[in-house]
Amino acid sequence: MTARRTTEERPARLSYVTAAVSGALILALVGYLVVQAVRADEPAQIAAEVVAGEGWTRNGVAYVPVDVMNLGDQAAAQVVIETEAPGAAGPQTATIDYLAGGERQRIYVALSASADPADMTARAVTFQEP
Amino acid sequence: MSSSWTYHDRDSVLRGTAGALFGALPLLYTMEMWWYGRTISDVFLLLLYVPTAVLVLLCLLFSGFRLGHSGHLALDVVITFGIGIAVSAVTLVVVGQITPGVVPLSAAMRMIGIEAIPCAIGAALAITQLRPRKPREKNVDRRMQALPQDYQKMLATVVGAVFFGFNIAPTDEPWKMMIEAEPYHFPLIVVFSLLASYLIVFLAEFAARQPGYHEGALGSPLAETFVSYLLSLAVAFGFLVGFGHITVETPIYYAVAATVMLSYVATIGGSAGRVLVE
Repeated sequence: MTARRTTEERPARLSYVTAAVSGALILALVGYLVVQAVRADEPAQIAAEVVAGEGWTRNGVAYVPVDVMNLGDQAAAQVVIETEAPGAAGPQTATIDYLAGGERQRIYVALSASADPADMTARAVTFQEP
Repeated sequence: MSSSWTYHDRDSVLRGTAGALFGALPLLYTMEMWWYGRTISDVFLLLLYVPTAVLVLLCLLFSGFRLGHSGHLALDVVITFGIGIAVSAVTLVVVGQITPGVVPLSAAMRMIGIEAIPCAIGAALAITQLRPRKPREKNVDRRMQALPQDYQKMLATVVGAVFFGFNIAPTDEPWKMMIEAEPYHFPLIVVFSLLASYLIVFLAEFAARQPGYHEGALGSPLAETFVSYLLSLAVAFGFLVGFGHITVETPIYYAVAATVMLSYVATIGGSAGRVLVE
């Protein structure tokens, strides 16, 4: 049933201001997505860099940061990073669930006291397309 | 310009902001949504805005942003979307999921963009459904009630199904539940979905029936329950396709079973939608 109305409201100035701000937000978001959609995407390219200088040692365990970067535009999933250090028992792997294009994530590798963090190496072994 | 208009508009904006949080906070805290934000294609995200805009429009048609005529509906849709984007962006930044310099701009924009969808739907529903109503005064402009009863019921079902379904569909849980369920569970889910829908809408007495409620093709409770269930199945299937759980390579059994599994949630949402629109 349609209700008979006796009152009527027009938009207040606040509504016009809010609509203008909202319109700007929508334009920024949609505009950006359109630009991204039309430009060519580089496939994911994973790089891993050991940042031994920012690591630390506690209770005989060395914690070594490794920065993992996606240098491409497309996202990568299940990114497997393998690290190896002289003196360590063997290579270690770590998995990052998702890495967007251009994204950087830091992982930490724990090494025993017998290993040498300064000469640790890291590389991307595999990743999937999401 | 009367100050009361300003008062009502301010309330609508604030209610919308609250509704965006009420409706979408679970999704703003859902890991799968952040992942979708990182991986979803820009084109697909843009395409998602089309049904979202339609849905927001339908929500606003429930009762409108403000009393009176519907000439400002486009303005209201823009405001509602803006609220959705703002709430999505602020929340993701505040909770640390978007950190400038860590999350690249492209991923941040897509995360904001996908989270803005449930935020906008939540805002639209709150603006229209959480409006204070004075007893014995029909002060809510229910433009939707100009539609035939059948259309009202179908629209309310779709809006409710989408609102509830959105909170579950992006997660891996429906698929995992489907894999773990035995084949005999699925007919049970269908029967229980239909029973729950009937119970919520026709037995629980949430709201008084409008005059003419039993008119039209969906006038009988059974017809309404079954058609609404079919709509809920369609919404569930749409979500599963949209979030990539069902593709052309998915075996038909898994596609049907997952749809039935998620349709339980969509059915409850659709029933809630029909209760609210009464």
